[in-house]
Amino acid sequence: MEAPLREPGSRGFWLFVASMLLLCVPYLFMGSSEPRLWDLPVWLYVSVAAAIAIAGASIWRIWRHWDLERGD
Amino acid sequence: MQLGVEAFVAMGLYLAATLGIGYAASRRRLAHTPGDFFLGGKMTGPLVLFFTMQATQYSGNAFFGFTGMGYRSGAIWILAIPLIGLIITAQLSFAPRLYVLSKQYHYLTPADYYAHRYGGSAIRIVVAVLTIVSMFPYLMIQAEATGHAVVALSSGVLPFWSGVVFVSLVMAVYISIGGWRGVVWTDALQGLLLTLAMLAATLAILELAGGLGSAIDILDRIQPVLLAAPGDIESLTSQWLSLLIVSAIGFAMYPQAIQRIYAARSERALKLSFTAMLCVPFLLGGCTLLIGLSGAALHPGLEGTASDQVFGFLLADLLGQHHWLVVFVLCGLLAAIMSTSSSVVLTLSSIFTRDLYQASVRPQAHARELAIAGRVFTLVILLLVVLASFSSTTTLWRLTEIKIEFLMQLFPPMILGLYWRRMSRAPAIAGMLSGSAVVLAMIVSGHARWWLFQAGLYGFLVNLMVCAIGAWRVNPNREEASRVEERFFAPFRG
Repeated sequence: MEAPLREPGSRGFWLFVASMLLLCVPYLFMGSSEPRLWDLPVWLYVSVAAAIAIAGASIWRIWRHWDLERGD
Repeated sequence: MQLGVEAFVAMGLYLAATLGIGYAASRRRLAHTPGDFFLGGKMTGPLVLFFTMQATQYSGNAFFGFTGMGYRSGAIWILAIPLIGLIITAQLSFAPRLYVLSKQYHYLTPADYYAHRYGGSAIRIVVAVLTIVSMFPYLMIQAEATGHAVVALSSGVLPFWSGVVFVSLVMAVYISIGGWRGVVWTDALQGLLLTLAMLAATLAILELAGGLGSAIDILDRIQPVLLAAPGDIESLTSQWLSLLIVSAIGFAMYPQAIQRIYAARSERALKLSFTAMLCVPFLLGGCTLLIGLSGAALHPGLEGTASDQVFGFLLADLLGQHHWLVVFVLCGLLAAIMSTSSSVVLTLSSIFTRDLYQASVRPQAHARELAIAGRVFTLVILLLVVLASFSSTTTLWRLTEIKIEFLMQLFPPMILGLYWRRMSRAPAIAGMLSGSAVVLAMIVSGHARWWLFQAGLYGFLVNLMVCAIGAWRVNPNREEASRVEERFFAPFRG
């Protein structure tokens, strides 16, 4: 019998995505546009950083965990 | 906006290029089969796959709806980046397994998976009808946007109706003769064009505003609220967190997006195109925010639907100094609209052909007949879209929201079918129908948003509960359990 395809479920990945999603939405900076960094509010950079973390984790999962065509 | 004869020439050259590509695609046809016509024989490589995913995802909405959101919402529209990026992240939950199954069992439409996993034709029809009902109004609005783009490009010389009819005819030709290859090859041209147009427009508009720093200074003086994060948990949750969740799941279930997973030539092609798609939002999402903020600084005071026109006002400002750039951006806008429309038309046509015509009317139809039926359905859909676009009154963004709120009802039976052995047909159908009924009832009764979340999310939760409770109560018989185990779980053990 052929070996099963590698496609691990990852609760850790989805928990990380959910926590970064909560960080994207600026709950920590409600109603504020201060402090600033290069003219822009800091919360904006935090949202972008969280979005980068989600995209980075997704790319890592794609290349680290997908192995769907044996011998590809 | 007065653009002159060169805009006509540019639009003509662009439309001629799409027809040329459609013709070249028709010469590369490998077989007269639905699989070749609708999915190009599942041989799409990484570059074309990326461009077709991108061009399909970014419609005219990216130019007008998204910049309008940036204008109204201010800096919080930075969430456009995760809003777009999360679509691919959400697809990671089902794409790997669906890709393998689609190769093994020759899936053509999203409903193929549901019908194969759960058995019977009822679920196929429910999925097909839900998809068509969700997508058709959106297609109608895209046609309307096409008419407006042609009016702008021709400086009002061509009337609205002629723009809709003429561009639909061009699409009908390249879809009918080129099928999948015609659509995705033109998508490659259109995806490139829309990206360059968005970048060029952003740079020119920032220059017009005196740079980002200057735009921020103006906003600090006249509308400081646009630079602050929303001030209460309720608006952050109901307007933004809820939107991110609903968009991620709803957009992930786009039928044309699912077909692009089926069409990948190899796992590597899918991986590369998904990776690129995860990077693009930082560029294009960021552009829509910068345009929106510049628009708020240069044209304050636009309200309601007028705020969706801020991109048009900014283009008019650029006309004197950057004439050719405005022509180029309008061609990019037309490309964005056409690429989305043609992909959706081809997908709906495949759903009509496979899930309704072949499954319910002519099960014995041979491959050539189905390919011809596909072309006929393409023409019929385009004709209906053209007729319907003349009486449309709803905004693009609202229709987008409604569409994804219905589409996300397809998600629970998709994901539970892939990961839960007990999941069976009756709860899957009941879940989709009850979730859709909740969304419909809330929208019709004027409760599109209630408390912290949108209607789609409440429908989704009801759907999920019905699926879960139903699956616990209905025990699949031994024969069905062994079929499901062998086809859907054994290959993925480990």
